[in-house]
Amino acid sequence: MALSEYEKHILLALEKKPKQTTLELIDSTGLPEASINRASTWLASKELIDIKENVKERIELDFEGKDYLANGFPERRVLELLKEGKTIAELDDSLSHDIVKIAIVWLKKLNAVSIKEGKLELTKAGQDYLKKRMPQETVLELIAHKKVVSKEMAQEMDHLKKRGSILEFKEYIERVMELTFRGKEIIKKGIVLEKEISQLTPDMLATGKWRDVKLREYEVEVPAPVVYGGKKHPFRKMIDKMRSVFIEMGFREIKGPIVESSFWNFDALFVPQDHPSREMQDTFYVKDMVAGKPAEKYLDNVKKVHEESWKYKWETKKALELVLRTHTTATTCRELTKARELPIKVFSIDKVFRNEVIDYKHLAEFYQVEGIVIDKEATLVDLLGILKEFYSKLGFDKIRFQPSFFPYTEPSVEVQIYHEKKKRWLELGGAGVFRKEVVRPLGIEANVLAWGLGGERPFFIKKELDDIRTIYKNSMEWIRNVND
Amino acid sequence: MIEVDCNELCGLLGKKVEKDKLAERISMMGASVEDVQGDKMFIEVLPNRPDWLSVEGLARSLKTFIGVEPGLREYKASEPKIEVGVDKSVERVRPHIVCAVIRNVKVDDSLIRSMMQIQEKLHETFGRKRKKLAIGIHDLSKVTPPFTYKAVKPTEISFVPLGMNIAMNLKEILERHPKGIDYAWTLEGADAYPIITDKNGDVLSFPPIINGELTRVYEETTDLFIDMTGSSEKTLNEALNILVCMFADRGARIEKVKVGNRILPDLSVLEKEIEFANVEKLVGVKVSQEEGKGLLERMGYGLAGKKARIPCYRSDVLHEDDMIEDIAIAYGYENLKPRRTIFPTIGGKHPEEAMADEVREALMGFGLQEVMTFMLTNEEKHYHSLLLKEGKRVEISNPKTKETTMVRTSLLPGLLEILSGNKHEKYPQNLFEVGDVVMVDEKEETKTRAVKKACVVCADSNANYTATKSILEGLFRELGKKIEVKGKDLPFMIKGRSSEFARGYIGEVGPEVLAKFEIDVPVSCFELELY
Repeated sequence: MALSEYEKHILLALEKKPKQTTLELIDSTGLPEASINRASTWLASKELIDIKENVKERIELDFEGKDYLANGFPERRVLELLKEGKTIAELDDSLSHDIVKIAIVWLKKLNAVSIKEGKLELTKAGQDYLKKRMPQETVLELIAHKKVVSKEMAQEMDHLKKRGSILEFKEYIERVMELTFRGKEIIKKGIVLEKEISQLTPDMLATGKWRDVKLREYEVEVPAPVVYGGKKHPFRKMIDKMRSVFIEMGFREIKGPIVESSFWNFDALFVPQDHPSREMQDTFYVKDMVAGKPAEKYLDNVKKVHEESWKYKWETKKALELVLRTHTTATTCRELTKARELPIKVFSIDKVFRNEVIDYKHLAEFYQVEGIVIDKEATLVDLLGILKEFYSKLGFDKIRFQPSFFPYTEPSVEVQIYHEKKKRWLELGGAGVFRKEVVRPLGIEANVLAWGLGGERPFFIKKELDDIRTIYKNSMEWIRNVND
Repeated sequence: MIEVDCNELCGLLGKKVEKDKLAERISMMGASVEDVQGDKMFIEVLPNRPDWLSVEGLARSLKTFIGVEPGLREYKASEPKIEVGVDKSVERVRPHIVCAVIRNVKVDDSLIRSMMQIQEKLHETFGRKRKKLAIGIHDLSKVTPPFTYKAVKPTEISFVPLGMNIAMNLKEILERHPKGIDYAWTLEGADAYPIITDKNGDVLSFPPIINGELTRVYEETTDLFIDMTGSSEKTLNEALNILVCMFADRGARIEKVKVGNRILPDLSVLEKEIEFANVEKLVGVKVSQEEGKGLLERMGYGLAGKKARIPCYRSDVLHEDDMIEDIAIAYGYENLKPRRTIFPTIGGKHPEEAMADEVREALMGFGLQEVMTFMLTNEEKHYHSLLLKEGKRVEISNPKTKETTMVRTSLLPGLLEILSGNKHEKYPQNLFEVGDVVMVDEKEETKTRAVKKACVVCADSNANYTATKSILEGLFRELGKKIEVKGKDLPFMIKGRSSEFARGYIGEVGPEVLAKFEIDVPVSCFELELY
């Protein structure tokens, strides 16, 4: 029977004393606890030893016990104060009232104090305790140093047990290893300890020394230590997936300013200057900086379309306020001015910002999945076709569309996907065909299909998260263990 | 969000419809049903349809949409008997007023609820919190026409405001009445306040703050006087039409009022040309003249020859596209077949993102874990924790919390924060982020420039400069670029253990900074600009 070096050490130790606890084996073999546990488990599986497990109790100091060990029992502290001549009333200045009360109870039990006419005085015994330990102190120290508590002290132990959180009794499992008959037989046949080598070295290979050594056999089935490789953030994986789906579908990726002028974020998108979405509680405004003017023709065209449609005085000043873009539609809107040859299909998956208090379902910044198609022949049903295709490639086969409203699209749709677990439809965001009031001032005479959908939402659903903040908390526990 | 009682809605529809069906039809009409609790339905009304802010208006549209009574509903008003004088003094404070009279109204519980709801919602959204529009509804029998809209000194006039039992002057109302306190901002800076009085000088309303107790509407009330004041005449007329139609739907009679030299409300039907062939160009479905007519009627329009007749309560129909959208809604979004059309284009990554992808891949090859952090931060975390002076940055003028007062200019603080939050997890923690920061740049139109950066942190009991520099040099090798570093002490690094290179730095983070982030192991790091 093949025995490892450690198994042999244990058998030889048990030959001298056939029944030993783990602690005893650590002493007798000089092996670490982990090795003994592992090797004895193997020996037991080979039926060379029996392992019995006994539940034992161990006494340790609880938090008050630790405090008393470091700072003294309440009765000791009071005793010291009395020695300094403090009166009962003055005790409360140095110690809490509760501590003083406890101390006096125990000092009285030891006959160390007496109360005469409301005055607390040290007795003869009390004087003695100034020079020697009280019994409870002796017991506490013994336990702290894991020494055996003698029979005479048993009563003191009981007192301490009853005194709240001084002692803590913990159960643990003691393993006892005992040689079996088979084990004894094997030993009788003789066990030869050879030096086993765990690592084959280049030197051994070079010198041929490997011929003279025994390479230890491994426990090849035990779990290996955990290692974590480097990988993408789980949400990045999803973003990259979405990007590659768009690219497969022929879309070109675009980027635009993160700090954006209100002109591109709102005005060019036909959002009137007093629209609620432009209010301070929804949009982050930038302090002390003002945007430069966009090209004069766009400024004039946009001003004209606002004033004609909404009948109010459009102010350039308001259009030049800088904001953190509230949607990447600002970026696609800029793209309209660059359009030359049709058709054009572009997308962006990028950060947008809303002035929200962050909680389990709101973020102040998140990703928007944005895209447009510019073509004279493009229609609403083509838009629905693109979105259906896109989400089906992401694994969301159930998608539906409802009428909706956005200032910059007409017709507008709300896109919803079905949450299989929650059995309900969840809103993903909006889409539509850009209004003439948006595209004409920017020089486009074609239909523009557009969408701006939540990036985190599908991820949130796929990973069955219940708190959106999980995505950006970057807990290693989550990142390292989450998978597809 | 409005609250609607299903039974009431069905009553107005004149047809019993199952609750689920009702919710589904309302959603497909373009208002989303957020929740149903018992007979109560909670409906999100989008800003283009303020006429749906009352159960009457919703029922009116649903009635045509589900085919109970399709077609245009025209509203009539009788000739004016009452005049409202508009004094020049209001021009500076609250220039516009529109009015109407409602006769023979049956005031009951459900009407009062509906009235309050539509007032509140119109104030909130359409009325931009009463600044642009405020509504007063009065018991006409308690006052004597003609009425006057004028501006007076804050202490000139006293009256008993709604819900009070003592007379207060306008200044006192703004200071002490709950509504006065809430809406005082709408009159900020004005030296005279708007007021509507009757022939005897009795006060109907102090817009946009509060009505007088005198004209409170009770169940016995039969005739109403409506005033709407605000900054936009267009908005006021639109809202007035919505409100009077709501009363008319309850069987009341609308009576015009002479306001200054105008006769209001104007309930005439607007006509706009519609070409049904354009439906296919925008929506992608063919609609014949015949079908088009039917679809328009489902949405409450009429059709006369080539012209669509638009009901007086619709103010959102600006041109043909708006009508085409309505035609698509009537057609049913659920009946639109998503179409796969290939618009031939070639896709591709943005060069900046392509570069970022390459860097991510290289860093993962070195065993580093990617993280993603927020771009918004605050000065304490971004500068002070790193012992840095505040630099040029994008500051937020209106943050809701102290966490979001600026946009990051560097990725390192975010990564240190992550290490701080993961100190009970297994080390080594070798992390990286590739992400955007925003730098101030006066030359740009937006006065800023987004810059793509990459940052690496190595946290472990034996993390050190050399090991991290190996990764940095490896990264440059992967990118096919050369790197040369030059020793440079940085405030947040250990002295003599940091250096700079073109658009980046590398070093071991100083113990004082680690202590601020409560990180218990050494950290070495580098950060560089990618694009």
